[in-house]
Amino acid sequence: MIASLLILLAGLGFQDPQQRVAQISASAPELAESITIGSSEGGQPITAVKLSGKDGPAESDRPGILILAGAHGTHRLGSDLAIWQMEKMLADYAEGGASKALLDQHVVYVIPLLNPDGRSLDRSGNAAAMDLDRDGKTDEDGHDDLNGDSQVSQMRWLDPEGEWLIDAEDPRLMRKADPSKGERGLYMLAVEARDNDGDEERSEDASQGVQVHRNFSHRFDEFDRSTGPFPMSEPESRALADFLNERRHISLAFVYGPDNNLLGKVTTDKPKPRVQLTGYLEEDKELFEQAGEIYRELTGREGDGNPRHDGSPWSWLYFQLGATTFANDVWQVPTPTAAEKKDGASAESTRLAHCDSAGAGFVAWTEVDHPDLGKVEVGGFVQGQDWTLMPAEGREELFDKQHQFFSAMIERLPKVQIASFTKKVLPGGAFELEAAIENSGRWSTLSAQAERTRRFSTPRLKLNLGGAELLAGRAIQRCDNLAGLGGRQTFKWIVSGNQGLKVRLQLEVEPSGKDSKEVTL
Amino acid sequence: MITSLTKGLRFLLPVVLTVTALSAQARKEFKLPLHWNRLYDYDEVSEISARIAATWPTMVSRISIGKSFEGREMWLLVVNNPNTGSDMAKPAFYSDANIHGNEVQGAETNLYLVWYLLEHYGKVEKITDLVDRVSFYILLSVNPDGRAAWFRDPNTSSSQRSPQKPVDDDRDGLFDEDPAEDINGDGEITSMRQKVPLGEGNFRESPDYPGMMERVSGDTEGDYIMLGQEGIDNDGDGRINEDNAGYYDMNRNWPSGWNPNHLQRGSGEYPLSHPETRNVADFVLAHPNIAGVQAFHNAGGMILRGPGVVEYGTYPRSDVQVYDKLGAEGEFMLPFYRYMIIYKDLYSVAGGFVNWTYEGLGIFSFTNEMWSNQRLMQGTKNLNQQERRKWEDLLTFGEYYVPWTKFDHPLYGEIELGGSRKMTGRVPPSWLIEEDLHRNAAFIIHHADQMPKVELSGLEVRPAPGGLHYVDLKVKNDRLIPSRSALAADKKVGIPDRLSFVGNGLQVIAGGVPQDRHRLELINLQEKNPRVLLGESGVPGNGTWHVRWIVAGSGSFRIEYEAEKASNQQIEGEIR
Repeated sequence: MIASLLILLAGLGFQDPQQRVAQISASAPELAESITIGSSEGGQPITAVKLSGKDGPAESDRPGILILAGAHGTHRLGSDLAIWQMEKMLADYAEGGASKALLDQHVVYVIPLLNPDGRSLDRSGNAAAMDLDRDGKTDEDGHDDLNGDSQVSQMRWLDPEGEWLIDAEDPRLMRKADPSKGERGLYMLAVEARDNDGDEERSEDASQGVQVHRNFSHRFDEFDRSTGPFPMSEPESRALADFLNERRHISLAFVYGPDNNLLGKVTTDKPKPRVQLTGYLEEDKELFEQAGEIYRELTGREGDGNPRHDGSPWSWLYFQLGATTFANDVWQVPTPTAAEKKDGASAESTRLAHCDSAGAGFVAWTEVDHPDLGKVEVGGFVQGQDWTLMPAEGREELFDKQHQFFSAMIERLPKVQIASFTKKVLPGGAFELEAAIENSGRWSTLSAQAERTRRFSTPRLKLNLGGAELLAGRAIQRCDNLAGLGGRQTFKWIVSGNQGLKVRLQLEVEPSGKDSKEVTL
Repeated sequence: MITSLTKGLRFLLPVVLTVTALSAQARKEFKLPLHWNRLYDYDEVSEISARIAATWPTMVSRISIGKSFEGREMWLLVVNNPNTGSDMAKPAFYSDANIHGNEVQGAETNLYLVWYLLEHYGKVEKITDLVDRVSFYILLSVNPDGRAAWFRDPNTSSSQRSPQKPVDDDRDGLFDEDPAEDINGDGEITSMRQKVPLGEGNFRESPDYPGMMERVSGDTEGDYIMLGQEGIDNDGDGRINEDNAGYYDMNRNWPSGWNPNHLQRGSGEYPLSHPETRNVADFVLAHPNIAGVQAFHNAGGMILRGPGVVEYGTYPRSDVQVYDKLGAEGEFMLPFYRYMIIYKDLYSVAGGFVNWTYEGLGIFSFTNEMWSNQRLMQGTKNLNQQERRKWEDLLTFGEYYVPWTKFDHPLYGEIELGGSRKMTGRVPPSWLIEEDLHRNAAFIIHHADQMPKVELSGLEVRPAPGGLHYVDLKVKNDRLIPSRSALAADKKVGIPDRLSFVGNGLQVIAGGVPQDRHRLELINLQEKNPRVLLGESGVPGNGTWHVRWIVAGSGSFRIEYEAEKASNQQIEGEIR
């Protein structure tokens, strides 16, 4: 069943990320390096591509940027966007376009498919065997394909306890009976399945593997078995964590998956001891609001985005690793606008209209002899297709807008430098040294949450005296978190030393880079 | 003193009657004589564990559950009598120790426990029964690297809590670059003090105990300042000893309630991010038969249970009753130990080991903070600093403290080094070590003995109307601990207990829990698949799970009881 389904989906134009990554890194070996960051539960390699320009500061001194896709096994659209962006940046770099500066001044890491198992099994989670019904057996009673169309859709059958009715407007749709209007349900509606283990239940162990995109350690749902036995229990989430722990310069992340934190209202929370936040810190609100505005303007998208925090990679990146992170679902199956709702459109009818135009995602109802239930009708919406139904038309344009958003965010990164480093001769042959550091970027040195995580080392100035002696001041000086658009801090030292000695001042700011200046006494 | 003697006499009385047995006890011949009045470093603990396994090869197997960060084996002893079933087929007790590298004596306690069980197996009935009924998983040290470093190097009683993976404690981009150190080469890391003109200091030497520093206040003038632990400013940042080996705390790295570093210091990059915690978790998760957990720390004399943070709320009432009973018995067995709740009576701990094993896995779990200095002082109450020092000096002849000696410090100039030693305070003096090991091992034995012991009884077959039959069964547990904790039932942890009715030619019409012993038809029916009755709450401690089936047909049948934390049982019957 699974193999034929993949063939079907291949027809919709999705790329094989693993294959494309190999091709891309082979085609531009000077700019793109493929790194295996771990292997999945099912033993498949998980690959990251490092994109790094040849001209510019040392890689470890540049801000790192992450594009993460495919934690959710059927979010093919995110993987496609990640690959598209890689190709775009490499082509543009070769032509000397805007990507030249972007890749010379930053390092972009792209993980196009964190969950290769989900991709190849065509399900949301990884290859882990699960016992959702807690009977000591794993995966023994999942959904089934009863009508032989290689898809799992729905089934409906007449039952006095049923709460569903066939929609009179379009008999392909089912709707819940409304007792307040004197209606009584006639049908049961369920996912296409039979009782495979004779325990009088269907689909009770319909495992989708562990949901890697709910396995991260921010507000992890501990007892929902599908999220994994504990936070970061899965090889995929651990591989990402270990990869990032070795690359602390990554401070900006774009996560393509089911969540979106750019569409809806930005909600805040107040810091409390021991409690994981449910919203952004007040000081970071503006950053996310402005990002959301830019995103909505570019993509023309609307809605609330419904970003879930529980166990998500994006919330983990922001709340626990202190990376400024944008969660992006890229596209959704259309939902009715307020006006369409007024005209009687429902989520189902709008979805069905989309399926009709895409020519996929819905199966006509046909009668099937069910082994447990007798006569049933199989049909309705195909399960697990939320992002695969995007038509090829308009995709290029949407991807381009998404990439513009990506570039716009990178332009807002902090840029902290030594603005000046000067000397003044004091009586008695001593010198007063004065330095100013300045952040000319749009965002502050660290977001409030990044500062709170204490994950990055403290920005600091180191005075290399070169033989001179320090009379007043600290040789290693900690710096403040500077506001964006010109935030400044000044420092003074008094030193004494022979004329001609060179005193060097070095600025180290994790994650945004280094700078240095020198004065001669 | 007098009161406790009189109180003790009551317990002495029966002892007089068994005087022969007692004298035999004091003249025991051991198969493997070992010294329990000293501490052992990592290599010695490993070596002793190998000797124990070699001495009792049938009953003890020694396995490594994996390697530490620096590559040391994490040795675990499995105690099991293979003649009564495999270890996995029995409820198992898990004990570990030394997750904090400096909190050492739990490893000796665990060695002692295994040794004691085997030396007394076949000789003391209670021990024999227990060893035949349950299995033990005894991990000697969760932190072999910290243990090795603590014994090997100059240290304080509190250093090397962490394993040895470097961490940038002071966030300056450098790792472990400024540790405390033994600057005068005497083998100890002590304290630094400096003499200053009278009135400029905030400390003075105690007039009664020269060498003992006391803080001055009010009308007393000080002539010393204290400069912290022995060390220098290695990295020239103007601070001393601010980036020691590590630091992270493996007992904040467990999954349940785990919080990131900024909410819980030392918690690590993510739950189970260290090889040591990962190895332990893999072992524990692969052994769902573990029904009791003990972790040893030091010091202070505490028998701790969760919750670790106030935000957790409370544990289910019936589980608290089990905890309270075990805790009270622990206080009884362990003088000067108090049964305490971590967040309320100690401090907040997110991501603690026993929090995970109970809150995440539903296993009754304790942490003992071994050794209370009150033992040294016979529990004398409200001692001041001087009086405590008197006990220490009279009983250890000054061995607890390094005398102050002069030292020329690169930053501070002329200072003096001295004070408390590595072995002072957190571990017992040698003559009290064995006692502390024994009492804590006895607490484990007691807890292990309370793990569920389930038996099937009271099988009754009675005719029901229409030629059918009622089949009634009692599933009894005559130990304190239920086969499934209330937490496991509430959170649906693991697999429910199962009772399967197996019989050719017999058909189960219905099944469930009977509501009334006189009205057979009143049954709380299980809606689906009544052939296998599910016990989400398991078999209660010292209680019974009644079940009743309605069965059609006749012939012999078998009822199988399966549980994660109790031995499987079966019983046969017949419907004529």
